Amino acid sequence: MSDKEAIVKIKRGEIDYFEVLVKKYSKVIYCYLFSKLKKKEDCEDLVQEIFLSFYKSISRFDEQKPVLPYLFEITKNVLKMFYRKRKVFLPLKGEIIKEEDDSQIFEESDVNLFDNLDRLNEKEKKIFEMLGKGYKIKEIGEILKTKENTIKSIIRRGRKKLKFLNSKL
Amino acid sequence: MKKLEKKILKKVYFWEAKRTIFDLVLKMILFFSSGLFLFILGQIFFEILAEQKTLDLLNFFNEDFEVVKKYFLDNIFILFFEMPKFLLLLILIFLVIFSLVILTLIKNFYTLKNKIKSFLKLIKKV
Repeated sequence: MSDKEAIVKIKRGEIDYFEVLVKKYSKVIYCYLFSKLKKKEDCEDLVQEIFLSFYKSISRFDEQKPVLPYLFEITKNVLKMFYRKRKVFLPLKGEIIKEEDDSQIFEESDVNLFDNLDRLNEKEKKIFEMLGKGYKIKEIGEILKTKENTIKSIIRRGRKKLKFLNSKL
Repeated sequence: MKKLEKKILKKVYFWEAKRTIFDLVLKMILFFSSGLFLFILGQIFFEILAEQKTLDLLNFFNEDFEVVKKYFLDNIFILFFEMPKFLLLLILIFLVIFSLVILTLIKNFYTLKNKIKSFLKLIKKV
């Protein structure tokens, strides 16, 4: 029986004629996949997947066209998906994705810094006071209408200034 | 290789059986529900018309041809005017669904029959 006749019959619902196509082409596809993957189990899974997707699209398939090139086209796509699935993804390191925590701005030794706030300028003093009250950098930024990064820079500068003054005392 | 062929066919048959059953169940549900709604709404519709005595207008077709010809449009207009419009719209929608389901069932009847035959063949083999 020719491929064309088999496909016409499958389209009419006589799905047992799909066996004709499977018997004719499964070996070719299997050998091709084996030459690429060298693993029996993977090849068998992929051959099944390929024939199933061929069956799913058979109602749209033009029976005048040859079957093998179409099967190889499906094989190509299935292989692509297989390689994509198998691709190893390196997990991101914890430190990279970890969000910066506001509580880490100050170190334990910085407790004394808050005693000399009068030596800072108005803005720096206000920010440090707000930090002392438990505000987060984001909230301070919103209240003072200043960017988060600017607040961070001010804190860094203020901290340096206070440390320097403390060391002089 | 034979084992692999069997596996492929089994997978294809399973997928097709699942699709066919789902399709059939969906169509049956649509067929029965739209038929039931059509019947109930039709009954309500005719009850309303009978209550309003609108159906009496149809008696005018028993008159002479000349009279029918003269007053045909007037009577049709009155008939349409007195009909419950929303109910009529609902009936039309269900009628469309009902006829579409029947048409697709008739159109795919042979395909469905062949598929069921193939499934039975496979069951016999197994």
